[in-house]
Amino acid sequence: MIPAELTTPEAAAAVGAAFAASLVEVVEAFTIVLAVAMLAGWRPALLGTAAALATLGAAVLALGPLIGRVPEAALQFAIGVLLLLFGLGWLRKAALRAGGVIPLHDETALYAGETERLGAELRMSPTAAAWIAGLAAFKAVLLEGLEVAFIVLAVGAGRGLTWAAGLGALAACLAVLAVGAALHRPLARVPENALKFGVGVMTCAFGVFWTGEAMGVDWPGHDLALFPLAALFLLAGLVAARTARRLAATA
Amino acid sequence: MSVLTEVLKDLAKMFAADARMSSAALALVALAWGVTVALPGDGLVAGLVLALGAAGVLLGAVAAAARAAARKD
Repeated sequence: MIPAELTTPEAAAAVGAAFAASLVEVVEAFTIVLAVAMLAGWRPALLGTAAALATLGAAVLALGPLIGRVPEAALQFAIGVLLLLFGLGWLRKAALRAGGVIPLHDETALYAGETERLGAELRMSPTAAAWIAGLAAFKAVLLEGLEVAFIVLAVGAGRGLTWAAGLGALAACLAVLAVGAALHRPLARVPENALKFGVGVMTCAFGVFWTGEAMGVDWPGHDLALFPLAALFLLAGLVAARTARRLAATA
Repeated sequence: MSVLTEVLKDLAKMFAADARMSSAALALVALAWGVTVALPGDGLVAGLVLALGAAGVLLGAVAAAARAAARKD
């Protein structure tokens, strides 16, 4: 049974945006942890991952109460602006990739590059191999985990949707772990650019909606205004990709 | 220390991968804020400025990056 507060359009959008964005980040972290595990064994990979998750947990526990003290309008404004910047960045990159201006993200290439880089480091310092491998896993999980934590906070905080967004992120983690455990290889088939495009559209819509609301904009239809805003950014993203393709073709 | 620096750098890149686009977006937010101050009774105008302006900032940033890449080739 789905709780009633998760069935509103805004909560559904929060779950979807957090799931898709977290999926992209978790797949990247998984690729690096897998590379570490294949080169140096699962022990340093899992220890590095556990240490990063503990650091993340401590950071969230330390910062969570502070966020609760910020006035709601100020929090909504700050998060709205950050979401807009984040969303525009993802949408720009996705449009440039779709337009062929920059290469598509390739999880297999990332895995090969990480394996080569880490392999060279391990050969140079065989006595510190476990430490170097663990640190690589720690860095990857900490960085991608911080991004997931930001996405959850940004999509959820200020509107009482942190649980909904957290649920989306948790579902993404479980999905990647389940598929990754079954495959034991990089998840190269995840449509990373399409996800990035979709998340960029949703986060831009959320960003404009919340920034506007914090400024006193009374959006027609209230939460339903998210849908025309998302349609506007979808259209802008598609036009941007088309423009990028045209400009790249004339080079 | 280098781990922390790398993490902070990557986090900053989340919001400002393209410094010009981020500056333009922040200027747009300031403009929309100015509109709410100038037209206190009509918040929707500020919302439209923000939404359409952000779409314009995106189009401009993508076109600029594509042109720059085309010049390099």
